[in-house]
Amino acid sequence: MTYDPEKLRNLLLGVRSSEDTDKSEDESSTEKEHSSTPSDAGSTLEEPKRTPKGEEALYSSQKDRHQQTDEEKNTGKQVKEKQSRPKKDPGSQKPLKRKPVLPPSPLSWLTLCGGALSLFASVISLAFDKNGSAPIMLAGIGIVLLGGFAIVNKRWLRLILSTRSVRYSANVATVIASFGGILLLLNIIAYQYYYRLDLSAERIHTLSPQSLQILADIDRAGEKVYVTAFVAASDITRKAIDDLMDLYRYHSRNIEFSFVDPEIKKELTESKGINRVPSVLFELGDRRSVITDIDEQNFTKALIAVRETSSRTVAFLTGHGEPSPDTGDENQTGLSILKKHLELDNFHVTSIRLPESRQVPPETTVLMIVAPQRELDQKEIEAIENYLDNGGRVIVLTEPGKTAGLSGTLAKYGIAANKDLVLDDKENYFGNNSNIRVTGNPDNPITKSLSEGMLFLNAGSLSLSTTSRLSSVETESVVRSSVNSWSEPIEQSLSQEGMEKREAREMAFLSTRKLIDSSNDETKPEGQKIARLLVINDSSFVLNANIEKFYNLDFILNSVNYLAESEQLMSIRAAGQTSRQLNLNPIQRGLIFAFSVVLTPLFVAGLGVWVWYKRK
Amino acid sequence: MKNALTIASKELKSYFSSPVAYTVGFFFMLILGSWFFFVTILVKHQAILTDTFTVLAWLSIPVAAVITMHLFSEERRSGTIELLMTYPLLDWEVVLGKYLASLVLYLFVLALTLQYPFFLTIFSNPDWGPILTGYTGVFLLGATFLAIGVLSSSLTRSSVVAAIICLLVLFGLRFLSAGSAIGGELGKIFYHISFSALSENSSKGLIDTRDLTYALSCIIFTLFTAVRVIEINRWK
Repeated sequence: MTYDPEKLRNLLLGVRSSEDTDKSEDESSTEKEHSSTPSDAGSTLEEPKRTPKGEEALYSSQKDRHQQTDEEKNTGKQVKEKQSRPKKDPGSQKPLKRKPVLPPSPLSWLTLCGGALSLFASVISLAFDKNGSAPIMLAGIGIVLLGGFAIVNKRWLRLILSTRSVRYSANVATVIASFGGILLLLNIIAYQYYYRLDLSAERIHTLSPQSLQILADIDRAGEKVYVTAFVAASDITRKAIDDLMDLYRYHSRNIEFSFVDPEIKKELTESKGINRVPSVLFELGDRRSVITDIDEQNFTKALIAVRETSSRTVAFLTGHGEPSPDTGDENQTGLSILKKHLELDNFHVTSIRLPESRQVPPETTVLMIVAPQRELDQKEIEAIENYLDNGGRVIVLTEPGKTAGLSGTLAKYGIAANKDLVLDDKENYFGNNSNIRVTGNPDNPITKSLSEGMLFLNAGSLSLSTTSRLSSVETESVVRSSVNSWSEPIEQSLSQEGMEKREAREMAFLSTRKLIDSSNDETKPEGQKIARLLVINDSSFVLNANIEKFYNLDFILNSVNYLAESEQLMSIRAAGQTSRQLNLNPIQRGLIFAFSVVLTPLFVAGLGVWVWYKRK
Repeated sequence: MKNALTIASKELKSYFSSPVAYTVGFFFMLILGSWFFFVTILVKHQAILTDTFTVLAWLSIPVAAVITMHLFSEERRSGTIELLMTYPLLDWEVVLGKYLASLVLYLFVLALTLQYPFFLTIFSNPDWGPILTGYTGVFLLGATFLAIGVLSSSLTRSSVVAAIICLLVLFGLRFLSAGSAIGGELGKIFYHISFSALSENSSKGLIDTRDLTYALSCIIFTLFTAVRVIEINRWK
């Protein structure tokens, strides 16, 4: 058997010779013969076994193509259908019918929108109802609707998603989403590990060195402090409190901050002993501290207070008919409610009898002398003065005309308790002129946040005394009556002769005396101790019957805490702000008006007109 | 980069030879100048620009929408985009060039407001720390808004539609700050993504890397997306 190289070459190149054309036309009706007997086409087809594999494959494909070309000439449209179907008898072929692919109906579109909205709503509802079933239900509805849309319109979806533009757009969307994901991750990391730079002149957004030191101590000790702000969601101070917490959060990861809305969580608020809002509660182990005046100074003081391991003691002087802190709360003349709140503030409360102890115990943080009914003897007074001379802190609550022998001690600290009764016929409690509303000094740390004032009952006034005042004593007013008040002598309290002289009366004084420290106490600033004496010419306001009226409780607790604080705490001062007052005369105001409101906009408009004119 | 700068200079010339820049500048300075004088000077009597920066941040939204609305949409509408696409320019060069032009125009408008701290310095003693950080914050905000405007413009043939999309997105973002009332971590997230954190921190003298990261991420992401959109349109 011989090959015709020319024919072979033509076949390989797809070129048909006239001989092959004739032969293929003869064979067009017997497709089966052609397909099964490729050797029928001539000498080049006689021995398919000897044809190299590649040539055979090429020959077969060339042969099919020839066949198709002939069919195209004869039948036209049927070619495509023939190509897609297995080879059959041409006479038995029928055209393939397919349903046209319709776009989704309006109902389908609605289903799609509903599904998307439902999924979106489930994500949003997670923010409001984390543990509820609403997010799951909404997500389920969304998935069902979207799934329904996909099932009903699967052919259309398949068609759309297989188009080149959609595939390309999906590819681009994936790239965008991936890039967005990377940036999102970067932002999440940046949110956790961030740095702040405070460029304000007074560094008002930066904590003081003392606060930073306390936070460093907390981190070093590995202590965990829980800070809870009891603030209503609608309270305008909430943002400021959050900003302050942010400052502390930035410097310490050992403090957990949280907010509680007292209007929603009333039981929790009560169980924590919070009786005033907004308040911030600090808890470390079983120690706690509460502040109502929320600023950096008090925040840091509270942190120091909860970390204080040494016990702070408030001692009540007894033995002279004073009310007792050990009665029950039902005893209207007792001090048990005050004792309970002092213990909540981590104070150890005791009673002392000076004749037995002979001195005020040195570990006493604050000595409370509340309405002694009998005179103190000289040795007791000396013991109290020694205590003060050693940097002690004393709160004296007297009744008008009953100083119990302490007048001399008070005079040394520049204070005199008057034997009068302060009356007020406007700022009083249920029309009783002797139950008067008094207000605190807004500049004093004890009273600056006590906006509603206190209720003093049968109180007397105080005045400054210079006759035997010790050196380096400074006295400041803490509480005053209203300008409408007047005073009557105790013996003639029912007369109204003093009504003509209405003016604000001093009701509480705080004296501070800086002492030279000759001891080697390293806890105190080198070379200095500070003695403090707070005198109030009323004692009724701290009794169980009255202590929870107005801001009475807060006032006495603030007083004890203020007197009890160490020099370390006293050195923490809030960052002051320089006044940026702008005082302009009319010419200066006119100048600013001319430039900022008139000339600059006109300059810009004029520039536009000029450019327009140039281009014209 | 050279091509981007060429496009930027061409766009800038177009800005300053059209009424857009001057109209925007006129109304911007009129509103802001009035606020500065009547509130800061007459009412508050304080050499502090916190309120002015807050107003400036809100005014930047319509300014960004107006400046960027025609950048791509006008070119698509008029058909010049095809010509631009035939130039040997990369898509990112085109986007960056147009963005830079809008940024320079925004800086020009911001520069006109420097007279306010200047007056305060002459007549009082303002704290320059918050002023510097305030301008940084406003610049970053404006840059972010402009990037979103560029993306909006690339999405449509109509300048008006581009402006509307930009305004809706920007106001929507800013109003997300209402979500901060939820409180907790989610509230803080809303506070940050609405740019309230950037605006408030910068106006009171604080630079926070979280705000910087967020603003720069938004700028990069929106410009990247705009480049991809241009790419899709090119190949359609």
